[in-house]
Amino acid sequence: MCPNSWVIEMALHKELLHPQLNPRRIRPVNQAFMRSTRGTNTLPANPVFADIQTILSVLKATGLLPIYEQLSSFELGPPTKPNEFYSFFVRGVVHALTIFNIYSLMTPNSAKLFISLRETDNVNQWIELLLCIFTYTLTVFVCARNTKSIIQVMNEILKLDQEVLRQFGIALSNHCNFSIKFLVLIAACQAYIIFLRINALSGAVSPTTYILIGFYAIQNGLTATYIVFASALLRIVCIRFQFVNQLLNGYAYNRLLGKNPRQLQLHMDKFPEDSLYIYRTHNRLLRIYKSINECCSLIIVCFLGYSFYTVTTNWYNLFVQITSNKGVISSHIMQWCLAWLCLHTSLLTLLSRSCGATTHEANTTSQILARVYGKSKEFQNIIDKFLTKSIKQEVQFTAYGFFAIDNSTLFKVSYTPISW
Amino acid sequence: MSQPTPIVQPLLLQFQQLFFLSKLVGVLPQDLTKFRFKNVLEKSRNGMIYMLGMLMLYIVLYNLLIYSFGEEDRSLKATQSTLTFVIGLFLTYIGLIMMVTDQVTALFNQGRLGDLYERIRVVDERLYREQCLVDNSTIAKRIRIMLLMTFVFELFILLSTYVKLVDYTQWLSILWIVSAIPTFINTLDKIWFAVSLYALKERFEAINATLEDLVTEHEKFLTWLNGDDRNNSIEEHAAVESVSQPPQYDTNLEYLYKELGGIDVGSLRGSGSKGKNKVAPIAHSLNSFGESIQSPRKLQQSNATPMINMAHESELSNATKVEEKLNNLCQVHDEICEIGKAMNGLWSYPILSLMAYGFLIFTAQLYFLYCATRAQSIPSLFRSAKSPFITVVVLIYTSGKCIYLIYLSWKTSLASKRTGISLHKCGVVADDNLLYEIVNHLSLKLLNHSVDFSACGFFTLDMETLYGVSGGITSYLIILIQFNLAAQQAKDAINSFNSFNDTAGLVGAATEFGNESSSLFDLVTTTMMTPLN
Amino acid sequence: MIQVMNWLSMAIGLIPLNRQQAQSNFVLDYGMMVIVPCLYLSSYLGINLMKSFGLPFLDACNSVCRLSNNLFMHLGAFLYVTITLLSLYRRKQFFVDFETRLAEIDVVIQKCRRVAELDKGRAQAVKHSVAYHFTWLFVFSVFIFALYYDSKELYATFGEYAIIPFMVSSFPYLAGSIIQGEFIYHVSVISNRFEQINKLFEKINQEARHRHAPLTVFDIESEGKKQERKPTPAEKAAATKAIYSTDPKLADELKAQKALPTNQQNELNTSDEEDEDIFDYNEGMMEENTGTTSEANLPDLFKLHDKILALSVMTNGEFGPQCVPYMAACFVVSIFGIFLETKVNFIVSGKSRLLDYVTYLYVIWSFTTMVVAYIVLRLCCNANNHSKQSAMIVHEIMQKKPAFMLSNDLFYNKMKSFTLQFLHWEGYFQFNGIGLFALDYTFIFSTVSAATSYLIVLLQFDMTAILRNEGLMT
Repeated sequence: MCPNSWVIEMALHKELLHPQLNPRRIRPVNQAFMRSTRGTNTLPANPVFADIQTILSVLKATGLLPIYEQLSSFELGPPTKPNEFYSFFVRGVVHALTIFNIYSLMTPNSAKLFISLRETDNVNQWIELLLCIFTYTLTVFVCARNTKSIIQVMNEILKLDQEVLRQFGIALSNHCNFSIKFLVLIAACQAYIIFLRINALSGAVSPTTYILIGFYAIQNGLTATYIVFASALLRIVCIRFQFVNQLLNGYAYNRLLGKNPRQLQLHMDKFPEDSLYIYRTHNRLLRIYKSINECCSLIIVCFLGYSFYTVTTNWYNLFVQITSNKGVISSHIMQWCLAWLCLHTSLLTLLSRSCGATTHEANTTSQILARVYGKSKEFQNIIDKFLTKSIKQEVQFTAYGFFAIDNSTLFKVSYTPISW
Repeated sequence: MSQPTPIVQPLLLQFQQLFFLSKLVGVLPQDLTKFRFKNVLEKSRNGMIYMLGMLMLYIVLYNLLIYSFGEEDRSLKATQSTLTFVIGLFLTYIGLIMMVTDQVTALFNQGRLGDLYERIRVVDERLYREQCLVDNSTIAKRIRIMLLMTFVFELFILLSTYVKLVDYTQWLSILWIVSAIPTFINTLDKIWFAVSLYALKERFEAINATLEDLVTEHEKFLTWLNGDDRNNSIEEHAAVESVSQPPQYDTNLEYLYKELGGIDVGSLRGSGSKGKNKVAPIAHSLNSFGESIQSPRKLQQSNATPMINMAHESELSNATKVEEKLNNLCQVHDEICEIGKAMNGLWSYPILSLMAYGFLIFTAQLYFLYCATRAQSIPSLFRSAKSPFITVVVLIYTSGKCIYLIYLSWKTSLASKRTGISLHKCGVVADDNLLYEIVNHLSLKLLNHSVDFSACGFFTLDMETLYGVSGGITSYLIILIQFNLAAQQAKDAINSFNSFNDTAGLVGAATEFGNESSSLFDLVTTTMMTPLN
Repeated sequence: MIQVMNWLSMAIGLIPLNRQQAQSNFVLDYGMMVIVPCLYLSSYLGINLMKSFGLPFLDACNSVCRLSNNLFMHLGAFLYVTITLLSLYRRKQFFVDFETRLAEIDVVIQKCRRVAELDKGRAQAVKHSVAYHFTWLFVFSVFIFALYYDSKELYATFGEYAIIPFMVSSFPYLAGSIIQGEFIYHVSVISNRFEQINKLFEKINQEARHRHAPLTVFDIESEGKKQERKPTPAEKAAATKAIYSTDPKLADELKAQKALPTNQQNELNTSDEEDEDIFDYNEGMMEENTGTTSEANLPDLFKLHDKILALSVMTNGEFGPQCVPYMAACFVVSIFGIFLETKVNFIVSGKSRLLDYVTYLYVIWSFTTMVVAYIVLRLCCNANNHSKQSAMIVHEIMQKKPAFMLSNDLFYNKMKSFTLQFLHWEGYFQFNGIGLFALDYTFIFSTVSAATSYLIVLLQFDMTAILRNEGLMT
């Protein structure tokens, strides 16, 4: 899209949608967020979630997300009865499969699964499998419980976007293309692992084993996909926070250094109005952030535990392979470990990065506000109030209240395997 | 406000020697001539190529070093315990990794580094306009001391190790010199960071000092006000409040100013210190028209020369004027915080690698020292651990680097927090409603300025981290030593068993036990080995 | 009691003689501070270089005994040398400064008391509780026992030369503890001042409770004024803006209050401020209100609080670095004390007198240092809490909206300024050992957790073989 086309499009767009609204001024500051919606006449079905459409559909198909209805371009409705039933059905199938899975793990049949690695490692494999099953089951349960709140969160985001579009004529883009890449990565890794597994199997393979392996891979993949979805949601919130911050940054003193007093006066006059909007948006975003946290935290904790365990055991395996005095490094185990490591490390990085970025953005708002210097009393009062509120209020994305998720978590995680 | 001649000396002026040295060894790619004439850091393609060449050269040399000294290791591998071997293997390249991180980051940041110093210069200018003076001369001294220390430590470690522990009859042993390169380059890079950080800290402290000066001057003013006669004090009030209006300046007040003289000697310090300050003014321009460089606000007052002192005295009692000053100081504070963050961002990966290096090398060196005292063989690259004295020097050098950085960043963030307290002192001492409002407002802003230094967000650089890390080092050391003990015991047992086996074999051969004995030995071996493993 | 400690520390050269006089003989002052370390160093070096008069060089001393004694000695040397260097570095400038500042503070406190009409008789005599005396008695008896035990054992071994091994075994720990005692003394003084301030604040708080009535009157009055002033053209712009932003603001506030009950008073106060800051009350009103009552103290008290905090920063700067080696020594001695007690003494007690002596030395000194360290932590924590309490009381006063606050912006702003400043102080200062750790109860937790992990490692260590080698076990 050419960079200067949006102005015209925006104007058109606004006229079409809200002719009654006075066009607001256009800020050069917000260049980054200015992206025209796709076409003016035909709005896309869901402009906000267009980026993560693929991942949404995958999750919807597997019953992790409700198959919601599109009421209007900025509102989602609860799922219709058949769709609800479909989700319900899928979940039932999943649970049935899980039970079957556990049952077959207890039978000697499952021994086939573990042959690939060393004999002593079986306990590790067992624990890993159980953790994976547990994580996935939990994900399904939590998702089933949180159907409403997820839709609510999405609705809130949409409403916010609608407001932004009305006030500033800007459609926020999401930069969530990473979700598709990760989806491909997950699929590739899982496929590769399946391939390795089957390759390692020797002798006659019963169909049960195939089912086991396949289901195991699907479980892994879906849990990972859900994590990517959570990250995408966080990213979306993060972009909103960024938008607020950019808006506020327009008033910061270092942006206004060059202007003459009259311009300054004119510019600052709009501040109270804008600040109101900013505060409200910020609060709403915080609320959204919190509800996302509530929805996902249990799953994330579980996933983190599973992931740490996998990473540690795989590192250990690699280490043993490297240091074993035989000097022969089994390429099969190497590939196996590397595939797992690649998958889990990238997911962990993605998660902690998006959490960290969002938290950072949310906490930056007050810092930017501290940079706004108003001459008169009201400005100062407006600023003061927000600052007072934010003194003690550090926002954080916690893993079920246990710990905050950001880079430092990653550090601790990488720290513990070493000591083991 | 921008004038053709810069108001303040740029900070980079102090960095000349350091820059030439780092340019020479390839730490920074920036343009040499531009720096020499304009004191700016600018991108330079040639510098980049030179630096890349140096980087390649170092890598090749270092690999050569590892290869040539690795011969011993390979022969020793059997005798070494696996633990020692693995640790040696992991740590062989860590120095190189650290150096490469430093240089590559410097390459990527070459444009931004210049901007950083430009921002510092702008801050200096603003500070100068607020009559808040920063003395840069100590920085050059600091750089010199640090360079000297680096040279002393590097040379000492290098030479003593070379003389004592390297077989210098072979010409290949000259390569040992290369082993000092990574640490040296890393230290040079870190000196840049440390000195810039120190400069930031000085700026924070200058802000604090300005605020405290305001307080002390006002206190003096108050004591003078109270000490004087009651009837005079009213007049003084009038004088103070109308200090910026020349018409009030008449014979009646002149006598007051004379009386003020006694205190002025003290308060002159504020204006007098301009002379010795080094940032300030390019020397002679100050002396000839010192005041005129400053903002117009000051210009107004300078036409009545004795009044400047008076203005100093009562600066806090004029709320509107002081508001501007405090506002500006607050903005500068924020700007410095931002610069600190930007600086931390530029150096985040090098610092992370340095900290990792420091932690690992510290532990490894101590562990190898332990191994050496037990007469076990250690990797040849860590041969300095064979002598306790050299080890101590190495440890001091490595930990000194890390701890100094941590200590400085801790101090800097403390200094930035101190500003709020000083600001409030101003408010308390003036005891004026308007000023209180200003102070409260600004203090809230200050609370939201944050400067905390972290390594990529993994951990913050403050003393608490140091406390944690020292605990970590001890526990790892204990674990490693225990592993080593266990491994050694196992090895001893195997050796003794082998010798026993040999003698028993001889006996067996002599008495012709034959197959039975060997099977018996196998049985004994398995039973003895299982509990040990 | 404190006097005794001061004499003792002067006697063993840890603080300068005549420390409170700025002008005195330099040599006399620092003579002791140089002689004693020289004595110590000579006996330390003598033992280590000449290899005589030391426990490790006795024939009866086995390897365990030698190792632990060496550790004890070198640890003590590390402790003593760092502490002495820091004490020498400190000089007496600190003591003089401290006393003058304290005197200043006391003068102001007295003045405030007079204004607040607190009964002087009770306040003057600093009444120490039973616990205070008991603590001192306990600490002294512990120390005397430790010293007595050590000197008795050494005398039995070395006869009249016992002073030399004594200098390297118990003396460093004694010196370290005494320095900590000085720290304790200074912190307790600071904490005492905080308490007095708190009392004064509390007085104001109580008075505010009694005089609650004028609030409504003022509100009505201000409402009236508001009505009057709105139409003036100069204020019009501001007023419209106020209207423009009032409702959402209120909504915001409500939200904030729900989210943040702790910040409630702040929020309430800001809203008050908004109502008030449109009006300028003349200065006369303030005098009328505050002429006789104790809230006139407030500015003084705020200044005092600030000063005491500055004083504690200074004290911490002087004594904090000395805390670090002491805590480290305490930690190591305690761990090895437990280790020796469980792994050696339980098994082979009574076999070798020297071994028993070393083990008991560890145990006694670990106990003593732990007691001292605990008192340090406790007092630092107390001082911190007291300073925090002042801010709490001020908040309480602000919440009550006494008449003097509502009538005058100045007081309100002052109090707000104080609380904000306290926030800054909170971020800036806490009693700490050069930033490595905060001196409060969290430190105990962290050390205990570290100690357990080390102990687990140490207790796995198999001593039986070594003991058997030494012939202590069959």
